[in-house]
Amino acid sequence: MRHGRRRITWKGSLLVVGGVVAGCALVTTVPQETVVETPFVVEGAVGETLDLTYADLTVTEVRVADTLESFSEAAQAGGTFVVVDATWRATQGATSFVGAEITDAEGRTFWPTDQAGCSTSAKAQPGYAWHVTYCFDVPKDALAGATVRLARGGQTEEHAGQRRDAAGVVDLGISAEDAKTLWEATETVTTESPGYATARAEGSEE
Amino acid sequence: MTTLVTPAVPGPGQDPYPSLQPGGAPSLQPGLLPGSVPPDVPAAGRPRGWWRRNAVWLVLLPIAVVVTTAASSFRVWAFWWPDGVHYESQRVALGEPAHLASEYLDMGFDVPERANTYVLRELDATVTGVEKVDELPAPAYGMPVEIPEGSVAYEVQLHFAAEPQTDLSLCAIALVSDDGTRYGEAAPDVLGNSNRCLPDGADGFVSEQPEWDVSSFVLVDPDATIEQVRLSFGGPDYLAVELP
Repeated sequence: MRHGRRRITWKGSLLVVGGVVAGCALVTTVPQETVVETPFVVEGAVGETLDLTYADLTVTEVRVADTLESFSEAAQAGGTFVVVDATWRATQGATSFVGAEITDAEGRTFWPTDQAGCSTSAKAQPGYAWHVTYCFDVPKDALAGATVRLARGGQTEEHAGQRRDAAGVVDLGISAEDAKTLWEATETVTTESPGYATARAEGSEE
Repeated sequence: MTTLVTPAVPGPGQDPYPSLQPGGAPSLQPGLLPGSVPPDVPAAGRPRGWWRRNAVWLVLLPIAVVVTTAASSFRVWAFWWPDGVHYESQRVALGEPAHLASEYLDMGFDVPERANTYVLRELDATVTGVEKVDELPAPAYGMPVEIPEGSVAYEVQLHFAAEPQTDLSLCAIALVSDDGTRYGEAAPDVLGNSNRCLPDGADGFVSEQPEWDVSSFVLVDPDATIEQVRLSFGGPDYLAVELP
């Protein structure tokens, strides 16, 4: 044992100080917010098909309604309902699509409602396109410039479920003037249950 | 390595033990009581190096690494391995029978005597044919289903042989294309059938006959090239049937 011979040396001090400096330099120079935790956001417009690697996503239609009706239930909006019709086509295997959220121009987020037959999530397998209707109850000032974000990962806890994974963000294409007209119109939308995309298209022609 | 600490040797003028004759015990070092053990005198020469001083811990370190790895490895079989269908236990050609045997925990839904016991599921499975079809048959329950636009349908024909009362729940029949896409792996299938390894309209999830045939329908992308059929019962192992 060399208890009596321990002493602070230049070499030892340099090692400790050097280690601390290197650690600080690494933390300050490497951008912590843009590491691979960030979701891979694929942006698009209504009608455009987005490739999210695990699925192809198309937002087919965006409507606004005061009242939603299904065969068993009717729902009245607190603000107004933004009804987003989308199709999912899984490309790898059976997939649950859990994330659905509207973000307005101010950055406020709105989560979907399950009233009147609206979906808050979807499940699909490769080999077919699956149609889903999402409904969001939003205030008047949230309409203009709003975007919808759909993904297989959930959006809770700051999009924790979407980390290192693709998410589709679609501009709903609502301008400030549109927002005024849409807010004043009193529309009723009859929701349809989820199903094969083409079967639904045939149904709506009747 | 305990070292006896002795008080500093007093000077010659301050002998604390005056009764002792100076020089009466010639082997005794100054400052030590008679009969006490003199402290280790460090051997002259080079001090022992860091590696020698820590030899015991250096030997123990790899052992500790092995022990901690083994202790945490239970997660592999407890959490990771059973999750999903990922282990190809057998590979056969189309038309070739495969003998499947795997243990599962029976909940006793269909056979109450087997509740909460581990049961060996043993069966012979043969994929006899995989072909594209133009329309889907009428389902056992519900409305007829049309093949959606932008999809094609395949019929997978299987032949099973097993002791009656063999549990076939969680049966999954998937088609795998050349790019690895798995079609139809989740229940229910396109006709709403969640019991795909038993004939249409079967009651419960256990077999009734010693041998039987089933047809399962799967929707597939029109441009996909199907290379393999996978049969599994909840995983993690599955049977791979190679298509010609």
